[in-house]
Amino acid sequence: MTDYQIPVLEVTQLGKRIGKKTIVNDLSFSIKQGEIFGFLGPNGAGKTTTIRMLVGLIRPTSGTISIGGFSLEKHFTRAISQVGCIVENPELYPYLTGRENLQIFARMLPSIDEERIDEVVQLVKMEHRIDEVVKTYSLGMRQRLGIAQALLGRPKLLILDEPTNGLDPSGIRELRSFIRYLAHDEGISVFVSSHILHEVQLLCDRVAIIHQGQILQTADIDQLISEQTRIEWHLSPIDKAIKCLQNISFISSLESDTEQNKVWVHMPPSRIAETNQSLIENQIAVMSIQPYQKTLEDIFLELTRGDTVVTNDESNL
Amino acid sequence: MIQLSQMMNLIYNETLKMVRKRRLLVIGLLLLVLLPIFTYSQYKAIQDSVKQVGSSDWRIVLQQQIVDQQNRLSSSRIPPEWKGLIKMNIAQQQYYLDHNINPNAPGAPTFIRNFVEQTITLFLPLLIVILAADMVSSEHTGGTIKLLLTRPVQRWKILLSKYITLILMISFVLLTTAILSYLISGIIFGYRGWDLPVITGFQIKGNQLITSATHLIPQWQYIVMAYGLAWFACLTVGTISFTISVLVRNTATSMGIMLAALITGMLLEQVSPYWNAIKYFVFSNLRLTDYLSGKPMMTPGMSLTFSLSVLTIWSLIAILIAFITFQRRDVLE
Amino acid sequence: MKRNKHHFNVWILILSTATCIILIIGWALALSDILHTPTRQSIIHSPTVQPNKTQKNLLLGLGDSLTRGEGDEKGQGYFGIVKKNLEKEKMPSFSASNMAISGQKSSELIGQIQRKNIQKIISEARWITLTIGGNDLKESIGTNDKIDVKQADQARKQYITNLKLVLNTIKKLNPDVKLFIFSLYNPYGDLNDQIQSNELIHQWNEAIRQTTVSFPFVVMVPTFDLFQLAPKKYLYTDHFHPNHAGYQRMATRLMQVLSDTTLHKELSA
Repeated sequence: MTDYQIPVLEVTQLGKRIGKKTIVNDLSFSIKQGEIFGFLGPNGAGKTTTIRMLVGLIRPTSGTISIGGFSLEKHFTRAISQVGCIVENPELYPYLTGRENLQIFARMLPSIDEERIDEVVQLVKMEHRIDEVVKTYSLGMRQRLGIAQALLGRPKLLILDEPTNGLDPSGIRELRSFIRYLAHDEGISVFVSSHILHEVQLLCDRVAIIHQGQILQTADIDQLISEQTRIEWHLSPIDKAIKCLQNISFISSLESDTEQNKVWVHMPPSRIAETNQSLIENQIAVMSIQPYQKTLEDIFLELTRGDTVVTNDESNL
Repeated sequence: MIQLSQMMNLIYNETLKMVRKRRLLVIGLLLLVLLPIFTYSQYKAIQDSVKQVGSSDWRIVLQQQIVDQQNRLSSSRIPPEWKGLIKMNIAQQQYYLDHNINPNAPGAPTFIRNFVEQTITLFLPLLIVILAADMVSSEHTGGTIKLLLTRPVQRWKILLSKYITLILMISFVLLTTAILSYLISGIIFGYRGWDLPVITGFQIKGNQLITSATHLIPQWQYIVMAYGLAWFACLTVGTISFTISVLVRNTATSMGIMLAALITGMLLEQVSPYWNAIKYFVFSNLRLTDYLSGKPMMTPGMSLTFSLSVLTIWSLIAILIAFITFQRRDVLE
Repeated sequence: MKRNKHHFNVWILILSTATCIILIIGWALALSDILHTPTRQSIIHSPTVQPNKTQKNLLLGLGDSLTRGEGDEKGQGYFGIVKKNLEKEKMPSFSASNMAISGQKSSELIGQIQRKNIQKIISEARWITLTIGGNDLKESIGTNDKIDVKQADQARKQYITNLKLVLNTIKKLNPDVKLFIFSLYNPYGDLNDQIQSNELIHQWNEAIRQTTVSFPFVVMVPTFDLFQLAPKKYLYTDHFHPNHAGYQRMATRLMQVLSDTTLHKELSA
């Protein structure tokens, strides 16, 4: 993937106000070809509003969206024809068969024939039930039909809103590998929103974290995760241990519980052994080391600590 | 060309949804239930008047109706506004008698004509409401609006395709109504009578029935004209229902609003002699076929031009609101 | 299967479009028909009247509110009662038609029987029952307590002229018909100047009698005596029309004479 290409999706200073309420404020990011971009945030952070703006369901009050070089506002049809999307649940016409649903959407796109329909049906492995009425489908099948619908127009950008909602673990795994295949083998850029860090971590190449309508951070996923792992140390004597840890440069946000002899720190997991050694050298007994799987809340806590919190609050005043 | 074929595709989609939602089927079934009842009541009414008058000669029956109405005129309990109406009715029936033309010659074509005249204010609009009330709102309730509006098609085109489909389906419903009423009523009344002469061209000036412009046309032509007028009335109902369906996003609410409005329109007609402003209300102007048959209007100052203008203005405003709203609105749910 | 469904929708679309066009044309036709008064002064040529088989046993009611049956709480009137009685006789193709109009005066009756269609019905009738004159008389007396003798005289003469015209017209239309005319009763019997109003009614009834003498097909049925002694018992609360009991009396009297003609018919048959 080459860097000099025009980004598939370019969002600049996007904002949406409804009445006096600011739902989304000053969002900027871009997605390259073949990239899986995660859009991470808790419910109510403005993810859905952003997605709806990206697909033209909601008009932004400020900022621009450009898809494949076409402004969504000025050249709606040219911009949107490069997008396939599922917004929230894959809602289809329940009284029509899967195939009829696809035919309906095919008729709204330029030059999609029966063969292409068969192709996407095969891609999502729906051949055996495609001529049944959608009413009878399980949620997983609807999700797959939704993806088939999104892929129908050979999009350059696939926008999926919480795609794993309601799927069982094996379905989630299947979907994940399917999305990876689409992005890395077919070169489709994928925009995925989620409120589950773990999911984003497993799927995405890059992630933007949104909180209260603002992007807190955009980073490669490895960077985000590995840089900041929370680790619990059970140490004795505790006072000496705290002093020792405070002197180590890559350790941050130290918390301690002197009664239980426990210390929590943020540090790269790759440097646990190194730290352990220096503790032992200082004659501190290490009773246990417990790295935590980081949760979204942890990241928010980290990111909203200090300046971010303040600016965030100001913007909401 | 591409534009046109795209529009045809969209219209096909909407037709497919309409058919598969079984809307047309429901309407067909409603007609199948109502038509035999209506046919039978018509038959019964004829039988009764024959029995009462003791004659199957329509002239005597009609004469009896005239005399009965003359007797009603002499009653002091009837308000003077109604008396004018009755007088004009008598004049018209007398005119039919004098020209030896039976306005109710039995036969399926006559039934078709009577049926559309009697259902134009409530039943036909009701069928149209069934069609139109959820054309847009159901996309909202089902969430499919999100898929619909994220296609490379401008929003106004999507709405236009829905509206054109509605117009076509209204036509289809009227066709079905005519065909079914022909087939069903013919069982009792017989299938002949397309060429029967019908008088039209009655004019009402003040309280007088003017017959100078009356002329005869064959019944089939009269039926085409009556259904044309009914189509226009239904189109207005459809358009307003369509707009409400854009505005409220909930099928039940949209149907409820239309039903209430239609019934209100019908009830208000009763007070129209006393409250003249009612004539500007859209659903007080649905009786277009009455202008054709020369049935006197209860509200003074109503004419075909007036009613058509009222219907057109309401429709235009409604459809304008629908398009502006649909084009601009954020899809939030 | 799939293709059939597709065809079905396409057919609906084609049919709808065709119908839509026809309906628009119909709408335009209706518009031009109603709005543009046709320049050709179109004359309606009535189709030839098919002589429908004359109804052998038609009972026709003509006249005013008495024949209509006003005041009868059962809504029948003497006409309704007589009709019921005749129905019991099971005559072939018996029918009855009440063309009386409440409030009708003799002059208006003349107008009514000029109508082509009424004439046709008269020509088909076997019996005609008639009540006329009550409204003429009522109008001539006016609402004053004092009766204007001169005015009443004049009204009576006019009434007799009209009655003659009516009877002549009917005779011309249907020489075989039997006509039963009820003479007048005094609804004011228990009110104001009894003697004077009674005298007036007698004058009118005498005039009717003299007129009908020259028409052999007319039978005069007197009613004065029916309401003479107990007007309250037989009159409706409006002190003008009979109530059901009163109509019953009139009907009984009429049936007595009318049944002669049905019997006669059967005997001769």
